[in-house]
This record gives sequence, structure tokens and C-alpha cells, in this order.
Amino acid sequence: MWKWLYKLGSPKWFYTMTGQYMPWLVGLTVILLGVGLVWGLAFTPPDYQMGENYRIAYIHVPSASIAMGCYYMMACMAAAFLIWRIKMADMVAKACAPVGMTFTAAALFTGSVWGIPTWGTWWIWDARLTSTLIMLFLFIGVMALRSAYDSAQSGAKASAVLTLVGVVNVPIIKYSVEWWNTLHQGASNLSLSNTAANPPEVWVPAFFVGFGLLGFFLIAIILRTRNEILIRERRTDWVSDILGDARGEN
Amino acid sequence: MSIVIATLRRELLIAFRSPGDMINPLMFFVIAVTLFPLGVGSDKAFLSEIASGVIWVTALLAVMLSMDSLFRSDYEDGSLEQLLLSPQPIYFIILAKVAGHWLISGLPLVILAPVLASMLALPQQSLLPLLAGLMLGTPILTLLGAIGMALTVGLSRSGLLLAVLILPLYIPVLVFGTGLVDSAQGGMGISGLLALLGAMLVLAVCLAPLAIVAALRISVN
Repeated sequence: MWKWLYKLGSPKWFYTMTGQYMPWLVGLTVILLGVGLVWGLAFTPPDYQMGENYRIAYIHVPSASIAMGCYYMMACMAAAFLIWRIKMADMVAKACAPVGMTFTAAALFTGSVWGIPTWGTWWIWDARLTSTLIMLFLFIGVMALRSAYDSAQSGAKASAVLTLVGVVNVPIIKYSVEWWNTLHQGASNLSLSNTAANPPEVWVPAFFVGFGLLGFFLIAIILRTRNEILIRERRTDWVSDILGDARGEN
Repeated sequence: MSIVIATLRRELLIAFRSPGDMINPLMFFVIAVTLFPLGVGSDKAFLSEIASGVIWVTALLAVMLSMDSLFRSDYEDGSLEQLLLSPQPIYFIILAKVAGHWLISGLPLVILAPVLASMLALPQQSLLPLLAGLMLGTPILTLLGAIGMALTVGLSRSGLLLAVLILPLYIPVLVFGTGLVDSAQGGMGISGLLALLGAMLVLAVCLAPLAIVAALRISVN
């Protein structure tokens, strides 16, 4: 276990390891997303109240969960970087910010598109929407702080501190805005026996899309991290060896 | 304990010798509140409805704009570095510094708030909840602002960046502070919300100095 963790902290090991598993991850993601999207968007029955509108939830719900998970992942990486000075953790944290921001924006956008026909408004100052918007601001703040520093090392540490301050605030933000009257529905009861509003043929494809998007999220994080590794380790021998082939041909 | 008193004295002394740093946020508070009746119209019923929100938002912005004087000059003349190097417990030094800053920038806002509240026709029974909320809330704002200021003090142009970093973190205080006034106006009890604000203050006092110290060490480097 510890040896594995130790290895994970090595940029070279991370680079070669992810390079090996990447085709599998991409293949799995394509299959999951393909099956889930085709099944969910084309073959599930329309909802008796919302008609075809509800299908956007196949994208909306996983995006929102992944965005929130991404913030916590970024916070764990920030803590690992500040406490143990693991360079890899900072590279992953750096990759998390823009990807998390995009997923948050996607959740907000799909929610708005769904809201126009269903709620009659694309935006409302509701607890869920507001706290998601604040999370978007937190992601933007972390990125802005990192890029404001000239020294990459200081920028990394400063944005890690801000990420951790933000993570204390995320639950507070969530519960503080829940004091308002809320329009957004809670999580649905998903079980095979619950056939009333959400029959399994509606939510089983959602699982495919959800895990597919999770795979897509991981691919995005890994690709960004791999680029970051190449940039930061460009003076090392092993990177020259990898890039040497590409350079040598020119 | 003596270091706390010494730091506090130093902060207050510096503030009274350059009163501009102290007065400008207050003037901003008064002028910004004055803009609202001019902008949205002077209808009394409407003003009394938005009064607490206007006062809270402008107080929040005033606290944020006052943060610059907390670390900037100390950073520029090197005394911040000396503070971080001193053998005294840095946690208490920073806490005393922030407390001193609140005394000269946060407390005057609370004292000035009743005048502005009556100008905005805030109902009488809402005044006390507003003041209690500001009394507990402005120290939290100062502590959170100090984190943002500590993170950006090393950067040359940090004004707008500070706003981007800090304003999202201010939202819970704003929600509870204005919620306090709303529930008083609605005739409900305020002790629950007051207790929550108090709990947030305790949490901020305990944890914020740690983040401020970590951030200052990065900025001073």
C-alpha cells in the first residue's frame, strides 16, 4: 500500500502507468457513454409530466456530482501537497480546477436549459443553484490566484491554501443557502423496487452515462496532468528520451 | 499575553497616526449606502424592505476594501517578515493584528449602522438583530478577508483578485446576517441564527489564523 502510494508520487511512474492504461479507460468510457446515451436519449419512455425534457438529467445529474467530487479531490490534493510536499499532488490539483469549473458550468447550463420549459425560468435564487454558482466562483478564484503568481511554486502553495479554505466553506455555503425556500428537488429514491416515478428503465441508463462521464472526467484530468508532467520535467532524461523520438524525426 | 497587547497597541497606534486608512472605509460605507436611495428611488416601504440587505452588502464590501491596510505596509517595510521570524507564538500575533484591524475598521461600521438604518427606514424592531448580526459577522469578515489579503499581499495589483477570492467566502455570513433581520421582521426568534453566527465566529477565530500564517509564509517566502 505505502509502496504504491510512494510510486504514485513519482511523475515518471504516473506518466508511464497512465499511458499504459489510457486505451482501456478510453475504450470503457466510449462504451459506457455510447450505451448510456443511446439507451437514455432514444429508448427510454418519456416522462408522464415532463415529456422528453427530463432526458437532459442524464447529463445534468452526473455533471453536478462530478463537479462537487472534483472540488473535494482538488482539496485532498492541495492538502497532500501542503503537508507532504508531493509535487504530483499539485499537478493533479492544477488539472482539477479547469476541469471542475467546466463540469460545474455544464451542470448549471443543462439545469437552465431544463428549467426553461419545466420551471418556467432559467435561473432562480434557489439553494442548489446558488451554491453551485458559488462553487463555480471558487474554482475560478483558485485558478485566478495560481495564475497571478509569477513563481509557479508560490502560486501552487497559495492556491492550495485557498482550496482548503474553500473546502471548509463548501458545506457551510450549502447549508446556509438551504435556509431559503428551495425549488430544486432532492435526490430521487433509486432502487429496483421503486417503480412509481423513476422506473429502473429510466435510471439504469443514467448509471451508464454517469460512469461514462466519470471516465471522461478521469481522462481529462489524466491528460492535463500528463502535459503538466512533461512541462515541469522537461529537463530530465526520461522526458528527453520520450520526446527525443518525436524531436529526432524533424 | 504581553505580545498580544503589544501587537494590539502597535496596530491602534499606527491607525491613529494615519487616520486615512481608518476613515476611508467608513466613508465608502456611508457613500455607498447613500447611493441606493438615489438609485432605486426613495419610496419608504421599498427602502425599509431592502435596508438590511443594503447595509450588509455595503458593510461587507467596506470590510473587504479596508483589508489592504492590514498587511500591505508591513509587507513593504519588512516588519511582516520580522513578525514571522519572531520567537513569540505567531498565531496570537496574527490574531491580535486582525483584532486590532477589526477595532479600527469593523467596529466603526457597526457603530455607524444605526444612523444609516434609520436613513433607510429600517423598522425599529429589526435594528437590534441587524446590529447583533453585524457585531458577530464583521469579525468573521475581517478574518476571512485577512486570509485573502495574506494570499495576495505579495502581488503588485491585488485589489480585484482579492474580491474574486474573498467574496464567495463571504456569502454564508451575508445569508445568516440578513436572515437574522428577516426572521426578526417576520416575528420569529433570532437566537438560533445568532448562535450559528457565533459558532461561525468561533470557528473562524480558531482556524483562520492558521490559514493566514500559512498564506503569509508563502507571500513573504
